[in-house]
Amino acid sequence: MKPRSIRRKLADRAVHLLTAASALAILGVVGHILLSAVVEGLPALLLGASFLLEPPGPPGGDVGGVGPSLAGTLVTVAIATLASAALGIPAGVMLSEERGSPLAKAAEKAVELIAESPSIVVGLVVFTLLVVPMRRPSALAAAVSLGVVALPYVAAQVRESLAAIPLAYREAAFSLGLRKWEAVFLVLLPMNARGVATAVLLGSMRALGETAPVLFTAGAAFHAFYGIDKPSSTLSLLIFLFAGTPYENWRRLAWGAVLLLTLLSASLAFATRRLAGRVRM
Amino acid sequence: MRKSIDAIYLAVASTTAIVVAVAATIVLALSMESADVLAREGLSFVLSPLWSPSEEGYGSYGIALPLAGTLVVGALATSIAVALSVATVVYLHEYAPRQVREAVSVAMFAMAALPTVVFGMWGLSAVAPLVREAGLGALCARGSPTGQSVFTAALVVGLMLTPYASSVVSAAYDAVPFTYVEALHSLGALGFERARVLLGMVKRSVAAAALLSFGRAVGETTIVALTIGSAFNPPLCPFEPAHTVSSLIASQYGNAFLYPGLTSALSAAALLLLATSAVTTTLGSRIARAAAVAARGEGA
Repeated sequence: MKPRSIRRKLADRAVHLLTAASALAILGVVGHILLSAVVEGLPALLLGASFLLEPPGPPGGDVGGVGPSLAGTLVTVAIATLASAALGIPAGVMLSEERGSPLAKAAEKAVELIAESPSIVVGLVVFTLLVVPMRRPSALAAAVSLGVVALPYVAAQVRESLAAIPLAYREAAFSLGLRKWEAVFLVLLPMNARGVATAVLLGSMRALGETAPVLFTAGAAFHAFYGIDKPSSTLSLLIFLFAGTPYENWRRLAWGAVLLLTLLSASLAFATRRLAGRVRM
Repeated sequence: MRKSIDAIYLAVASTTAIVVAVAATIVLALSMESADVLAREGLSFVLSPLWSPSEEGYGSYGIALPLAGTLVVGALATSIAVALSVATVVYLHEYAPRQVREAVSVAMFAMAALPTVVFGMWGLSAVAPLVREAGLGALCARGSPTGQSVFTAALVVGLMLTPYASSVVSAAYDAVPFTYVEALHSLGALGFERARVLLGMVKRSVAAAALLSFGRAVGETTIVALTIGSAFNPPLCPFEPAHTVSSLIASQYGNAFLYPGLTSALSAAALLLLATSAVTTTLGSRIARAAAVAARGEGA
């Protein structure tokens, strides 16, 4: 063989190894995160009902449970999902169907700006506008900031799914004598129910996983769920605040919450993927 | 029928107007809150390294150190994410057997679905101890005793961004017309030679991926607050603890009402964060869109 072709083969081998190493690194990282979550979190999760229902134990004492934070998570994510759907679906329809109109242009910019806002920034604004006037953090304030964070994802996904409908369906609807908005509401949206459902699920997944928006809006009430307008907490907040504590039982609890949150988030992700076939995240 | 459709249209349009109002509210509320500190500190808000809310009177608010921290963590995290994702995309497209390709894409999907607080917890309890045990702190004057450092934060944020960056790069790589790939094969090009040509064709999308990742790294709070170690250091040596703008907000906003100027100063910091993230992300998506249009043009 000529030296030149040997050099080529060697270079190819080197690139092969290097790139394979980076793929392996990704597999390793994901594997290690999931494995740590299972190994460290399973003992807490195996406490079963007491983990899911009870409040955390005293510092240095029993592990206890994540009951109030789980309740807070379910309530805030449910409200955030409803709110982001109520605002995001119409906005997505407008973005897709009225492209170029002044309102759609403004909405396009607005959705982009909200998507670009770091989620801690949204938390700060909700703190100023809701927590300060209400004089206390609350599940409601947390839900509002989660809803705002989820909103652009819902709107963008609805727009994409409507834009992906082949032109032939619009033509068919128009040829039946339907006006533009009749076609949108009577034909295009109903046939696109899957796309809309995907968008809503994507929004709820977003709301479930976020921590920064609830940092100053939820409060840190880990011991009971007091109601929508009272201080509350979420699983993500519990992990964030308990992760760095020196108490072994609280760290164990945080790992249990990591496993629970990962399971919830993964099931939403796979539900989204099954529903949509393929989703742009 | 016609009437109810008109009513629905009206509802949709007014809801859309609410979305516009939400965005405007974010900017307005932040600007109003931060006006106070910006009027007092002026440019020295960005340039001064002195952050001292407890100083007599109003306090001193200079954000230079955390701002530098944000830029360094953002740049490091972006480099890690882009390097990993370009290498992985090349491997998956040019070398990997099908089963491996599927395994890696499932791993990427799982990684993208993980909440950031899970990355943060993992970084705090797996990556930080590793940094500590490896004695990397000894390389710096004020090396971190806990393993929480600029490097730790950047590494975990970089990993968190990798699936996002690879989805952008991979989409561009896939969009290269098949005739080019065929031509490369027919010339007998080896894997790295094909990758070199194809990466040259998608370099704009790689740049877009970098900008978009940077935009997200700048705003990332949860991971950074858990792994950077929160200290007012200039981020010159990567194994020292530091602050970013976001970790500063996370650690101080809770007690901000105790000091006369702190709420305003942290709001101004948030406004700066929003501006940085918005500019890089807008630039990134503009480049990505232009690259996609160009790719379609070449394919025709």
